[in-house]
Amino acid sequence: MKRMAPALKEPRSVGSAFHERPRRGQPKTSMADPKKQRKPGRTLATSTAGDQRKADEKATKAFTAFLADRSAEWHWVDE
Amino acid sequence: MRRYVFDTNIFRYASSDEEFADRVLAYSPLAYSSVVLSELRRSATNEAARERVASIVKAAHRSPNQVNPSFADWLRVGEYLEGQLPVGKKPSAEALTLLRKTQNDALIAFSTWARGYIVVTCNRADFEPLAAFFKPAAKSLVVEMAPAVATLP
Repeated sequence: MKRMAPALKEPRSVGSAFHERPRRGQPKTSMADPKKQRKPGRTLATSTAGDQRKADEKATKAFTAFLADRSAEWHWVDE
Repeated sequence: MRRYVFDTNIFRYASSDEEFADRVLAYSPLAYSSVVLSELRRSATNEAARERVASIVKAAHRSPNQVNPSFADWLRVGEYLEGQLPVGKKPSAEALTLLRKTQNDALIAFSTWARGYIVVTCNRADFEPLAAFFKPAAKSLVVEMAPAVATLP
């Protein structure tokens, strides 16, 4: 029996979405839309500095609370 | 930013002497050493003391306010302790006890100095040799005078 050559498959179609993707460096559609762009606010750097200040205040407060509690009892060894 | 790290004896004397407490309250901002917190935890003998330590642990949760010994810090401590033992001789029981006692101080000191922070302690005798070993640390050691009635172990 003569073997038949396999039927040629049609090339896989490339989804249209692929072609619509923005090129590298180009903003995505949602960011390109001025209505959807992020409004200027706190930058990452300022929020980190603010968080750090709060953490420092918390650290100092914890030490003050440590000193204020006279009901705490300790058994000091080797310090 | 340079932060101050209290040795355990600062907590000890500040909790029992008001004048000393007022003096050390001037140090700011603070960071907490996990080694010191561990020593505080083992020294807490009632619920109130444990809660005090727990609140400091919570406050030190953010990384710039906590100091933990790293791989390099542990190795440096080993190098320091190695230099305290006689070469080619079996160390005495006293020498081994001293090494165990010194290890925590060295961990506190080296991990604090490696981050550019400042150690505050009452223990001049043990910390000055550590500062001499960790050369750039000379200006990162503050020695507070212990209250008159207190005696250092």
